[in-house]
Amino acid sequence: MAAGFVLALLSACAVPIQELPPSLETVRVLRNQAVPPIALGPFTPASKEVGHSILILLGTLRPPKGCNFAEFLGATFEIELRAAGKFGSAARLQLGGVLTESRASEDFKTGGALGARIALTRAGWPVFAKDYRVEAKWHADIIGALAIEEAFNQYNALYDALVHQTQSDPDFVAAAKS
Amino acid sequence: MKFYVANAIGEVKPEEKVTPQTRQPVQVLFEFQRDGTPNAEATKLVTPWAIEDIKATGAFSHVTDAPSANGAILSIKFNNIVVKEELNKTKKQAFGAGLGFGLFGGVLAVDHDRVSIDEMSATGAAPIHTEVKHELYANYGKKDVDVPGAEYKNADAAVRLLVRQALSRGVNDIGAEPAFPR
Repeated sequence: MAAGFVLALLSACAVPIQELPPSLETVRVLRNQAVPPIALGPFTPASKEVGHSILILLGTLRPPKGCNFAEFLGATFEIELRAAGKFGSAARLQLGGVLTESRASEDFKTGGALGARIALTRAGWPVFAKDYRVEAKWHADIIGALAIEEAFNQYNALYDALVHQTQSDPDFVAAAKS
Repeated sequence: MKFYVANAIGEVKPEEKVTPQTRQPVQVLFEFQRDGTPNAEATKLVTPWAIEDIKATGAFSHVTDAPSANGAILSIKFNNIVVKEELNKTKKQAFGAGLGFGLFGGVLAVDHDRVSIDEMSATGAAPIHTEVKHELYANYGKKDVDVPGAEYKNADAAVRLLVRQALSRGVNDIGAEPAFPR
Protein backbone atom coordinates (compact mmCIF):
# COMPACT_ATOMS: atom_id res chain seq x y z
CA MET A 1 0.00 0.00 0.00
CA ALA A 2 2.85 2.36 0.89
CA ALA A 3 4.66 1.50 -2.38
CA GLY A 4 1.47 2.17 -4.32
CA PHE A 5 1.15 5.58 -2.68
CA VAL A 6 4.76 6.43 -3.56
CA LEU A 7 4.25 5.37 -7.18
CA ALA A 8 1.09 7.43 -7.39
CA LEU A 9 2.96 10.40 -5.95
CA LEU A 10 5.76 9.99 -8.49
CA SER A 11 3.43 9.74 -11.46
CA ALA A 12 1.32 12.62 -10.14
CA CYS A 13 4.44 14.83 -10.17
CA ALA A 14 5.07 14.61 -13.95
CA VAL A 15 3.96 17.88 -15.50
CA PRO A 16 4.37 19.29 -19.01
CA ILE A 17 6.33 22.47 -19.60
CA GLN A 18 4.09 25.33 -20.67
CA GLU A 19 4.36 28.11 -23.19
CA LEU A 20 4.93 31.59 -21.85
CA PRO A 21 3.48 34.70 -23.49
CA PRO A 22 5.60 36.84 -25.82
CA SER A 23 7.56 39.66 -24.22
CA LEU A 24 7.37 43.35 -25.05
CA GLU A 25 11.17 43.59 -25.07
CA THR A 26 11.63 40.94 -27.77
CA VAL A 27 8.67 42.10 -29.87
CA ARG A 28 10.02 45.66 -29.83
CA VAL A 29 13.45 44.57 -31.06
CA LEU A 30 12.00 42.52 -33.91
CA ARG A 31 9.73 45.36 -35.03
CA ASN A 32 12.05 48.33 -34.43
CA GLN A 33 14.95 46.60 -36.20
CA ALA A 34 12.69 45.75 -39.17
CA VAL A 35 13.69 42.08 -39.10
CA PRO A 36 12.20 40.37 -42.19
CA PRO A 37 9.71 37.49 -41.91
CA ILE A 38 11.26 34.25 -40.65
CA ALA A 39 10.10 30.65 -41.07
CA LEU A 40 10.79 27.92 -38.55
CA GLY A 41 13.28 25.22 -39.45
CA PRO A 42 14.20 22.09 -37.53
CA PHE A 43 15.05 22.24 -33.83
CA THR A 44 16.79 19.10 -32.61
CA PRO A 45 18.41 17.96 -29.36
CA ALA A 46 22.16 17.40 -29.36
CA SER A 47 21.50 14.16 -27.49
CA LYS A 48 18.53 12.14 -26.25
CA GLU A 49 19.25 13.22 -22.66
CA VAL A 50 19.14 16.93 -23.53
CA GLY A 51 15.74 16.74 -25.19
CA HIS A 52 14.26 14.54 -22.49
CA SER A 53 12.64 15.32 -19.13
CA ILE A 54 13.92 17.42 -16.22
CA LEU A 55 13.92 15.73 -12.83
CA ILE A 56 13.72 17.81 -9.63
CA LEU A 57 13.38 15.81 -6.40
CA LEU A 58 10.23 13.71 -7.04
CA GLY A 59 8.97 16.01 -9.76
CA THR A 60 9.38 15.51 -13.50
CA LEU A 61 9.01 18.31 -16.02
CA ARG A 62 8.48 16.92 -19.49
CA PRO A 63 8.12 18.47 -22.94
CA PRO A 64 4.59 18.92 -24.33
CA LYS A 65 3.08 15.69 -25.66
CA GLY A 66 4.54 14.66 -28.98
CA CYS A 67 7.63 16.84 -28.88
CA ASN A 68 10.98 17.27 -27.16
CA PHE A 69 12.55 20.27 -25.42
CA ALA A 70 14.40 21.31 -28.61
CA GLU A 71 11.08 21.53 -30.48
CA PHE A 72 9.64 23.44 -27.52
CA LEU A 73 12.46 25.97 -27.96
CA GLY A 74 11.47 26.30 -31.61
CA ALA A 75 7.86 26.83 -30.57
CA THR A 76 8.99 29.59 -28.18
CA PHE A 77 10.76 31.37 -31.05
CA GLU A 78 7.59 31.07 -33.11
CA ILE A 79 5.46 32.67 -30.36
CA GLU A 80 7.69 35.77 -30.32
CA LEU A 81 7.89 35.96 -34.12
CA ARG A 82 4.09 35.71 -34.48
CA ALA A 83 3.49 38.34 -31.78
CA ALA A 84 5.85 40.68 -33.61
CA GLY A 85 4.17 39.94 -36.94
CA LYS A 86 7.46 38.50 -38.20
CA PHE A 87 6.56 34.84 -38.71
CA GLY A 88 6.28 33.72 -42.30
CA SER A 89 5.78 30.01 -42.91
CA ALA A 90 6.94 30.41 -46.53
CA ALA A 91 9.75 32.91 -45.82
CA ARG A 92 13.12 32.34 -47.52
CA LEU A 93 14.84 33.08 -44.21
CA GLN A 94 14.61 30.10 -41.89
CA LEU A 95 15.52 29.78 -38.19
CA GLY A 96 16.63 26.46 -36.70
CA GLY A 97 18.74 25.19 -33.86
CA VAL A 98 20.33 22.42 -31.85
CA LEU A 99 19.59 22.28 -28.12
CA THR A 100 22.98 21.63 -26.53
CA GLU A 101 22.30 22.15 -22.82
CA SER A 102 19.18 21.72 -20.71
CA ARG A 103 19.38 21.31 -16.95
CA ALA A 104 17.76 22.37 -13.67
CA SER A 105 18.45 21.40 -10.10
CA GLU A 106 16.75 21.82 -6.72
CA ASP A 107 20.18 22.87 -5.49
CA PHE A 108 20.05 26.68 -5.63
CA LYS A 109 23.83 26.89 -5.99
CA THR A 110 23.65 24.97 -9.28
CA GLY A 111 20.42 26.43 -10.60
CA GLY A 112 19.48 25.83 -14.22
CA ALA A 113 20.82 26.51 -17.70
CA LEU A 114 19.74 26.32 -21.32
CA GLY A 115 22.06 26.40 -24.33
CA ALA A 116 21.53 26.14 -28.07
CA ARG A 117 23.33 26.66 -31.36
CA ILE A 118 21.00 28.87 -33.38
CA ALA A 119 21.27 29.01 -37.17
CA LEU A 120 19.77 31.05 -39.99
CA THR A 121 19.56 29.88 -43.58
CA ARG A 122 18.34 31.77 -46.61
CA ALA A 123 16.91 29.70 -49.47
CA GLY A 124 18.71 26.74 -47.95
CA TRP A 125 22.13 28.46 -47.68
CA PRO A 126 23.63 28.99 -44.22
CA VAL A 127 23.98 32.69 -43.33
CA PHE A 128 24.48 32.59 -39.56
CA ALA A 129 25.24 30.25 -36.67
CA LYS A 130 26.04 31.12 -33.06
CA ASP A 131 25.90 29.57 -29.60
CA TYR A 132 23.57 31.12 -27.03
CA ARG A 133 23.30 30.22 -23.35
CA VAL A 134 21.24 31.48 -20.41
CA GLU A 135 21.30 30.41 -16.80
CA ALA A 136 19.46 31.16 -13.56
CA LYS A 137 20.04 30.63 -9.87
CA TRP A 138 17.29 30.89 -7.28
CA HIS A 139 16.54 30.38 -3.64
CA ALA A 140 15.22 26.87 -3.02
CA ASP A 141 12.42 26.58 -0.46
CA ILE A 142 12.97 24.02 2.27
CA ILE A 143 9.53 22.57 1.50
CA GLY A 144 10.00 20.08 -1.33
CA ALA A 145 6.78 20.82 -3.19
CA LEU A 146 7.58 24.53 -3.27
CA ALA A 147 11.19 23.87 -4.30
CA ILE A 148 9.96 21.73 -7.22
CA GLU A 149 7.48 24.38 -8.37
CA GLU A 150 10.09 27.14 -8.15
CA ALA A 151 12.67 25.10 -10.06
CA PHE A 152 10.15 24.26 -12.81
CA ASN A 153 9.11 27.91 -13.18
CA GLN A 154 12.74 29.08 -13.28
CA TYR A 155 13.63 26.45 -15.89
CA ASN A 156 10.51 27.28 -17.92
CA ALA A 157 11.54 30.96 -17.99
CA LEU A 158 14.93 30.05 -19.50
CA TYR A 159 13.28 29.42 -22.88
CA ASP A 160 11.97 32.98 -23.13
CA ALA A 161 15.31 34.29 -21.91
CA LEU A 162 17.27 32.40 -24.56
CA VAL A 163 14.89 33.53 -27.31
CA HIS A 164 15.25 37.13 -26.16
CA GLN A 165 19.03 36.85 -26.00
CA THR A 166 19.10 35.52 -29.55
CA GLN A 167 16.64 37.89 -31.17
CA SER A 168 18.09 40.98 -29.51
CA ASP A 169 21.66 40.06 -30.50
CA PRO A 170 22.94 42.61 -33.06
CA ASP A 171 24.76 39.77 -34.87
CA PHE A 172 21.50 37.85 -35.30
CA VAL A 173 19.62 40.94 -36.43
CA ALA A 174 22.33 41.91 -38.92
CA ALA A 175 22.39 38.38 -40.37
CA ALA A 176 18.59 38.31 -40.65
CA LYS A 177 18.57 41.63 -42.50
CA SER A 178 21.58 40.91 -44.76
CA MET B 1 -10.87 31.02 5.31
CA LYS B 2 -11.96 34.48 4.20
CA PHE B 3 -10.45 36.63 1.47
CA TYR B 4 -10.33 40.40 1.28
CA VAL B 5 -9.46 42.72 -1.60
CA ALA B 6 -7.70 45.84 -0.27
CA ASN B 7 -9.78 49.02 -0.31
CA ALA B 8 -6.92 51.30 -1.37
CA ILE B 9 -7.51 51.20 -5.15
CA GLY B 10 -11.24 50.57 -5.53
CA GLU B 11 -13.11 51.25 -8.77
CA VAL B 12 -12.28 54.07 -11.18
CA LYS B 13 -14.90 56.72 -10.44
CA PRO B 14 -16.90 58.21 -13.36
CA GLU B 15 -15.35 61.65 -12.75
CA GLU B 16 -11.86 60.10 -12.94
CA LYS B 17 -12.44 58.05 -16.06
CA VAL B 18 -10.48 59.00 -19.19
CA THR B 19 -11.94 57.87 -22.52
CA PRO B 20 -10.16 58.80 -25.76
CA GLN B 21 -12.31 60.39 -28.47
CA THR B 22 -10.68 58.24 -31.15
CA ARG B 23 -10.03 54.74 -29.91
CA GLN B 24 -7.30 52.56 -31.41
CA PRO B 25 -6.89 48.78 -31.54
CA VAL B 26 -4.28 47.21 -29.25
CA GLN B 27 -2.39 43.92 -28.90
CA VAL B 28 -2.18 42.68 -25.29
CA LEU B 29 0.87 40.86 -23.95
CA PHE B 30 0.02 39.56 -20.45
CA GLU B 31 2.32 37.70 -18.08
CA PHE B 32 1.70 36.59 -14.49
CA GLN B 33 4.82 36.35 -12.36
CA ARG B 34 5.65 35.11 -8.90
CA ASP B 35 8.49 37.12 -7.35
CA GLY B 36 9.51 38.27 -10.81
CA THR B 37 9.59 34.77 -12.36
CA PRO B 38 7.03 34.05 -15.10
CA ASN B 39 4.40 31.54 -13.97
CA ALA B 40 2.88 29.75 -16.96
CA GLU B 41 -0.08 28.18 -15.09
CA ALA B 42 -1.20 31.43 -13.53
CA THR B 43 -0.67 33.28 -16.83
CA LYS B 44 -2.91 30.80 -18.63
CA LEU B 45 -5.63 31.19 -15.97
CA VAL B 46 -5.58 34.98 -15.65
CA THR B 47 -4.99 36.07 -19.28
CA PRO B 48 -8.65 35.62 -20.42
CA TRP B 49 -9.78 37.68 -17.40
CA ALA B 50 -7.25 40.38 -18.23
CA ILE B 51 -8.37 40.59 -21.89
CA GLU B 52 -12.01 40.96 -20.79
CA ASP B 53 -11.10 43.59 -18.18
CA ILE B 54 -9.12 45.64 -20.71
CA LYS B 55 -12.00 45.46 -23.20
CA ALA B 56 -14.34 46.68 -20.44
CA THR B 57 -12.26 49.82 -19.86
CA GLY B 58 -13.46 51.13 -23.26
CA ALA B 59 -10.02 52.66 -23.89
CA PHE B 60 -9.39 50.66 -27.08
CA SER B 61 -11.46 49.92 -30.18
CA HIS B 62 -10.29 46.32 -30.40
CA VAL B 63 -8.39 44.18 -27.89
CA THR B 64 -6.60 41.01 -28.95
CA ASP B 65 -3.39 39.05 -28.34
CA ALA B 66 -2.50 39.16 -32.05
CA PRO B 67 -0.58 42.03 -33.74
CA SER B 68 -2.80 45.05 -34.40
CA ALA B 69 -2.78 47.03 -37.66
CA ASN B 70 -1.17 50.08 -36.04
CA GLY B 71 1.43 48.06 -34.09
CA ALA B 72 0.04 49.23 -30.72
CA ILE B 73 0.90 47.05 -27.72
CA LEU B 74 -0.30 46.96 -24.11
CA SER B 75 2.18 44.92 -22.07
CA ILE B 76 1.20 43.84 -18.57
CA LYS B 77 3.44 42.07 -16.06
CA PHE B 78 1.37 41.07 -13.03
CA ASN B 79 3.88 40.27 -10.30
CA ASN B 80 2.73 38.48 -7.15
CA ILE B 81 5.32 39.15 -4.48
CA VAL B 82 6.04 37.20 -1.33
CA VAL B 83 7.62 39.29 1.40
CA LYS B 84 9.84 36.78 3.25
CA GLU B 85 9.57 38.46 6.66
CA GLU B 86 5.77 38.59 6.42
CA LEU B 87 5.63 34.95 5.30
CA ASN B 88 7.78 33.77 8.21
CA LYS B 89 5.68 35.75 10.68
CA THR B 90 2.48 34.31 9.18
CA LYS B 91 3.87 30.77 9.40
CA LYS B 92 4.59 31.25 13.12
CA GLN B 93 1.14 32.69 13.73
CA ALA B 94 -0.47 29.88 11.74
CA PHE B 95 1.36 27.31 13.83
CA GLY B 96 -0.09 28.94 16.94
CA ALA B 97 -3.54 29.14 15.39
CA GLY B 98 -3.33 25.46 14.45
CA LEU B 99 -2.44 24.41 17.95
CA GLY B 100 -5.55 26.16 19.24
CA PHE B 101 -7.68 24.47 16.56
CA GLY B 102 -8.18 27.92 15.06
CA LEU B 103 -10.03 29.13 18.14
CA PHE B 104 -7.37 31.45 19.46
CA GLY B 105 -5.61 32.56 16.32
CA GLY B 106 -6.65 35.06 13.71
CA VAL B 107 -3.99 34.82 11.05
CA LEU B 108 -3.76 37.32 8.24
CA ALA B 109 -1.66 36.53 5.18
CA VAL B 110 -1.01 39.30 2.64
CA ASP B 111 -0.57 38.82 -1.09
CA HIS B 112 1.21 41.79 -2.65
CA ASP B 113 0.69 42.44 -6.35
CA ARG B 114 2.77 44.86 -8.39
CA VAL B 115 1.35 45.43 -11.87
CA SER B 116 3.67 46.97 -14.43
CA ILE B 117 1.93 48.29 -17.54
CA ASP B 118 3.56 49.63 -20.72
CA GLU B 119 1.63 51.01 -23.68
CA MET B 120 3.15 51.63 -27.12
CA SER B 121 0.77 53.34 -29.53
CA ALA B 122 2.71 52.31 -32.66
CA THR B 123 5.88 50.52 -33.75
CA GLY B 124 8.86 52.62 -32.72
CA ALA B 125 6.87 54.81 -30.31
CA ALA B 126 8.24 55.38 -26.82
CA PRO B 127 6.27 53.35 -24.28
CA ILE B 128 4.07 54.99 -21.65
CA HIS B 129 4.66 53.27 -18.32
CA THR B 130 2.66 53.00 -15.12
CA GLU B 131 2.64 50.77 -12.03
CA VAL B 132 -0.25 49.76 -9.81
CA LYS B 133 0.04 48.19 -6.37
CA HIS B 134 -2.74 46.07 -4.91
CA GLU B 135 -3.16 43.60 -2.04
CA LEU B 136 -5.20 40.49 -1.24
CA TYR B 137 -5.62 39.39 2.37
CA ALA B 138 -6.44 35.86 3.56
CA ASN B 139 -7.75 35.44 7.10
CA TYR B 140 -7.88 32.04 8.74
CA GLY B 141 -8.59 30.97 12.27
CA LYS B 142 -11.87 31.58 14.05
CA LYS B 143 -10.83 34.91 15.50
CA ASP B 144 -11.78 37.88 13.36
CA VAL B 145 -9.06 40.31 12.42
CA ASP B 146 -9.55 43.92 11.26
CA VAL B 147 -8.89 43.95 7.52
CA PRO B 148 -8.88 47.07 5.29
CA GLY B 149 -10.69 45.30 2.46
CA ALA B 150 -13.91 43.93 1.00
CA GLU B 151 -14.64 40.33 2.02
CA TYR B 152 -15.06 37.39 -0.36
CA LYS B 153 -15.63 33.77 0.68
CA ASN B 154 -14.28 32.53 -2.61
CA ALA B 155 -10.59 33.03 -3.54
CA ASP B 156 -11.31 33.07 -7.29
CA ALA B 157 -13.85 35.89 -6.94
CA ALA B 158 -11.41 37.92 -4.83
CA VAL B 159 -8.57 37.45 -7.32
CA ARG B 160 -10.82 38.35 -10.26
CA LEU B 161 -11.81 41.59 -8.57
CA LEU B 162 -8.19 42.40 -7.70
CA VAL B 163 -7.10 41.84 -11.33
CA ARG B 164 -9.99 43.93 -12.68
CA GLN B 165 -9.36 46.84 -10.31
CA ALA B 166 -5.61 46.85 -10.94
CA LEU B 167 -6.00 46.78 -14.73
CA SER B 168 -8.80 49.35 -14.95
CA ARG B 169 -6.79 51.71 -12.71
CA GLY B 170 -3.60 51.11 -14.72
CA VAL B 171 -5.25 51.55 -18.13
CA ASN B 172 -6.97 54.72 -16.90
CA ASP B 173 -3.63 56.11 -15.68
CA ILE B 174 -2.08 55.33 -19.06
CA GLY B 175 -5.00 57.02 -20.84
CA ALA B 176 -4.51 60.17 -18.75
CA GLU B 177 -0.93 60.60 -19.96
CA PRO B 178 -0.49 63.39 -22.56
CA ALA B 179 1.36 61.01 -24.93
CA PHE B 180 -1.61 58.60 -25.13
CA PRO B 181 -3.37 58.97 -28.50
CA ARG B 182 -6.74 60.75 -28.27
